Amino acid sequence: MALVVFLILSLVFYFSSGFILRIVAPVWKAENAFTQSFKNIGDFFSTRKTLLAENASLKARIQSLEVEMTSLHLGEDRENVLLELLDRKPEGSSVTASVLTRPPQTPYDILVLDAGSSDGVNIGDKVYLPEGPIVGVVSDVFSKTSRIKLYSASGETTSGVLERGGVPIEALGQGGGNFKIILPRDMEVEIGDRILSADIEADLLAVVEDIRLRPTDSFKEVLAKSPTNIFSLRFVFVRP
Amino acid sequence: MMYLRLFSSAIILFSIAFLPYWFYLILILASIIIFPFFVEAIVFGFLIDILYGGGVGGLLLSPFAFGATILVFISMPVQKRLRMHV
Repeated sequence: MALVVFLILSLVFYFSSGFILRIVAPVWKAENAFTQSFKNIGDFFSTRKTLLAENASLKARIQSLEVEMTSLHLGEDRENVLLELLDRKPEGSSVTASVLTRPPQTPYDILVLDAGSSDGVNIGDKVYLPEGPIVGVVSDVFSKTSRIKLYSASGETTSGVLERGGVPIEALGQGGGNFKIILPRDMEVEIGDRILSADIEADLLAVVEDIRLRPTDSFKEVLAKSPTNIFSLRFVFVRP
Repeated sequence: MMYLRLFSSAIILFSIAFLPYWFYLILILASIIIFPFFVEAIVFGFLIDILYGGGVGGLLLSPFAFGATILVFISMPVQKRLRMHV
């Protein structure tokens, strides 16, 4: 009896998946707006002392980021010149999309965005954080929404490069923005090392957080984490 | 019992849309155990697969719906041997 119900429902839902997402998307948008305004109300009741301390810390952070940004611009210019020389300059504009749902609401590492095929999003497009790191790839596209599979989804294998030494690696997704990488015991890796994507753009994929090594093992287990908290993503860029 | 079943379905629907996955999975599991032939769980399974999974496209591509079906199927003979006070 339960199997009969399953078969009937699978037929019904097979043809209505896009329709259901179209109905739910405005509800998620409203929820995001409500959550944001609720957060703003909370900020209103912060004490003056807290605000002054926060202001000072933010000013210091801005200064440090400005320095970091300047150094990044220099590197970016050099990289652009090299890519132009190789005739591999990335083409196509990016689509800015708001994140409707994110983990832990989604059981897998899946994001649902408010941009779809009508906004120029296609299956296979890459998804970046506003700060630059790459997080995933478009897996499904509907007219006004799209579904993103994060590279950190459980069981997902992503090719990358360990920046220290330029070693090619395979990062196995562990869910929740985490990756596991198996490396030979003698390979040099330290906490804070960056994992870059294997393509020519070499975008930041993850940062090494922990290294596990038992005396009897011939391999070491490196645990890396996405550079941002995927549980609080609000905006992303989608690029071809 | 009927109202409780409807109320729990509404709570599950709300939690699928807005709350973390572990919350609605526990609710669905509890409802399958408590209510007789909780076929709504299969609908919720499909909903989770459509919203957050890879969509609907067979037994392996709809893991939540298939899992819910198996649980509902198993719960039917088990519930006959259980005494519930709901």
